[in-house]
Amino acid sequence: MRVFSAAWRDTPLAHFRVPLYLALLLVLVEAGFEWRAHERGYTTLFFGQHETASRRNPDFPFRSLPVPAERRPGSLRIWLSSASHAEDNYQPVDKIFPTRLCALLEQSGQACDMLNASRAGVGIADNTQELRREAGHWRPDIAVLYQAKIDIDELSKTSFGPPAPKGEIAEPLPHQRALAHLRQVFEATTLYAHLTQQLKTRMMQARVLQPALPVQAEAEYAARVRRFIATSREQGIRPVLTTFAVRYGTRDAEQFSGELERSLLQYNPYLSKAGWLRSIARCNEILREIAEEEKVQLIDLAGPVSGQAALFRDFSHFSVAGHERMAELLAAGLKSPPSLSARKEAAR
Amino acid sequence: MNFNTLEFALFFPLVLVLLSGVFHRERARDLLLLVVSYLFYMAWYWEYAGLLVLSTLIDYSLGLHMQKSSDPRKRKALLTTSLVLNLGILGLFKYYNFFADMASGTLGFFGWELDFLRHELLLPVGISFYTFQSLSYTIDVYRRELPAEKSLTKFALFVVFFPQLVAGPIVRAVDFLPQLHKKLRVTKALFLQGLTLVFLGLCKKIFLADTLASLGVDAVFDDPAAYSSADLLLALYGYAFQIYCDFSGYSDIAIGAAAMMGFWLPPNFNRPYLAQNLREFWTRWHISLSTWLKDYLYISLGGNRGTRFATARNLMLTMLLGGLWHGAAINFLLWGAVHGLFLMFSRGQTRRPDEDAPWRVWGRRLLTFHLVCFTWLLFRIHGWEDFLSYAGGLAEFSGGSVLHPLYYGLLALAFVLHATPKDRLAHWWDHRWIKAPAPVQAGAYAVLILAFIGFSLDTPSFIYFQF
Repeated sequence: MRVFSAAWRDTPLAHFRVPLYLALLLVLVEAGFEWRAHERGYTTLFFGQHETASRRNPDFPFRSLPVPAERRPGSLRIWLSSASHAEDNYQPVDKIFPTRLCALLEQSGQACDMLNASRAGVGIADNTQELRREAGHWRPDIAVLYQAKIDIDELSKTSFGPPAPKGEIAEPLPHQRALAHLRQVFEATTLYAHLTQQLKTRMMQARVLQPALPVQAEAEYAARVRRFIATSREQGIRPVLTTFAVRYGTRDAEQFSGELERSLLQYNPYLSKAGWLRSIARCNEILREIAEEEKVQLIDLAGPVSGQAALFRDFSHFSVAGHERMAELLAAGLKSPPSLSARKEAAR
Repeated sequence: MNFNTLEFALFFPLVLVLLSGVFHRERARDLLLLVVSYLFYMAWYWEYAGLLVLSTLIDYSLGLHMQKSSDPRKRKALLTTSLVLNLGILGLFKYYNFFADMASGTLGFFGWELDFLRHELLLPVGISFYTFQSLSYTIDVYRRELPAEKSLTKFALFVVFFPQLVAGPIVRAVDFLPQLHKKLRVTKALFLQGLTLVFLGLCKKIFLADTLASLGVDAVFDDPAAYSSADLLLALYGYAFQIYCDFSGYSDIAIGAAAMMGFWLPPNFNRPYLAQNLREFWTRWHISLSTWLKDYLYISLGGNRGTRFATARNLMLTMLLGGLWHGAAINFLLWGAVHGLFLMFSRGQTRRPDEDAPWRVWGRRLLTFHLVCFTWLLFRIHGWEDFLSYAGGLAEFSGGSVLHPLYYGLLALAFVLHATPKDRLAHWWDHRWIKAPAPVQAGAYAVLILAFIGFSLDTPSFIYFQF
């Protein structure tokens, strides 16, 4: 024993008590937070996965009631491209607006199949790719696009964030992959989630935030929408655009709560509250202009839904009542003549 | 691998554990530190480790030959070879495109297309630091102020020792190599002082430097025309403290990490913004570079031994090269030139006694601080138009501020931390903090780590990495 202690004397390891206590404390605090989060139904690093409704069947990769690949005669097959707003894993599948939309159409005598291809964190570019990849197999009649927020996040990052690295990105080396994995584990801790939500976003609120997206970003948004339309038409699908609804109207920046602002800053640390409302309004204007130019049906959801706090559970995600209202408005829009003759138009 | 990353938080404790296993076996210890230092460096671009090896081998062999030779001409030739090769590598990677652009710009005026001269060369991290460090060795051996190092491992470790490899302090061989020949000892006090310094450096970097940049400095410098004169001035003060906290934070972490391994590195900062004139500023700011420039460049040029004109010329040349050391751009050259000019005019001024009336002392400090801030403007901007826009905005004297109150608070905190005498802090560490029970210290560090994570808005790199 004495030989052992003599070997370590005056070495850094002989004084490791503070770092060891430090590591132990951090692990204990993480475990405590994880237990609390686990009890509330969240997936955590130590206590395992929480079953969410986001699990999709590889044979039916949509968040909607199962539909056979073979078409039912006379049914209207709707492809919906959106993000978490229409995927909404916090609500049962039969309560979200894509499912409710088909239920309402069925009630009015229009057979309907819903292919809800919406995915959390996905923007128009990914929606378009998925449509191109899958549409041949599922053969929808119409493709509805409900997108703005994720694209605003992406475009804010490219407009205001650090420049992307130049040239080709090299294949990561094994040690870089290992480090990236470690970082992922670190970012999956509950402590990290709490600290970014509670502290980082508060710091971001103190930043000088941007009042609007630059013109180039708006042009890129328009280009993405046009690519979605072009892809739909290439596949023989009739595109339908919708304006994007949020909790506050254009002039409601004063009512924008700090908590909601922080939840937005977590994913987009660049835009101010007014910047958000202005950007959403600009995206909706762009959608209207494109619909006019491209002769595409546009269903206005922002007009009747935006600014009605009871229809939202946060800035852009819907409450149960909000899902129902969205479904009603979409059903009313799609029941108008162009949607019922969708197949004919697509065939033409 | 940045000090403010998860990677380093895992790497460094592992190094400490491995080092402890071979701590009392000199060769194994040196070899281990050499290997981990290369791994640390290669985490950026492994390709550039070759340059480090080349620089090491050149100066190692030239040093040995210089030691053996008694022929002054041969010794001078060997020193010249070292200077040409080291500065040649530095020049190629750091300054080639700068001069190629200047040449193609100038000759383009006469219709000659010289765009083919430009090549995309990535600047190897820390090249200015390790080149100067390595050069200090050959110059010291040439001056017979230091015997040549016989062990290649020890010499290579001196060049590549990871805590100070990429952003200093620039350690002299005469300070570092003797430590490698002694039995190292890490006392509890030294280890905990080192740990405290590491955390102090991280606090400076994450809480102050990065947050000041994120809350105002970056936005204002990116679009100066959009802000009032008051905000432009506050952003300039903010940048002065950002660069201080960033760089002195790095130095603190480097010195602290080295101390935890039993090594001593020289201090690099001493409350620079309390200097009463620019000469004093340069004895307090980036001390390892300013003393390097003084000892190896200014004195080699003749120092102040000649006429007044010769002294002024030597000063100006030293500061111009000091400016260029920071980067291959006109603004760094101008920054050096303005410092050189101010230093020329302030020659003859000696440090006034601190017993002077406080208002005089603080008046001089305030004036010097504003002169330094003005030069930071040259340092930070990216072009002549930006400079004019910023300076023009300042001259408008418009009021009103869009900066958050937290920004003012951090600016004040940065000033207080900067102005606190080191010995007072050290006294507190030695007599209070490191004697606190281990769980108490660990608890405080845990709170800091959690705050670091919460405050890390963009995890930017250290400013001086680009030099």
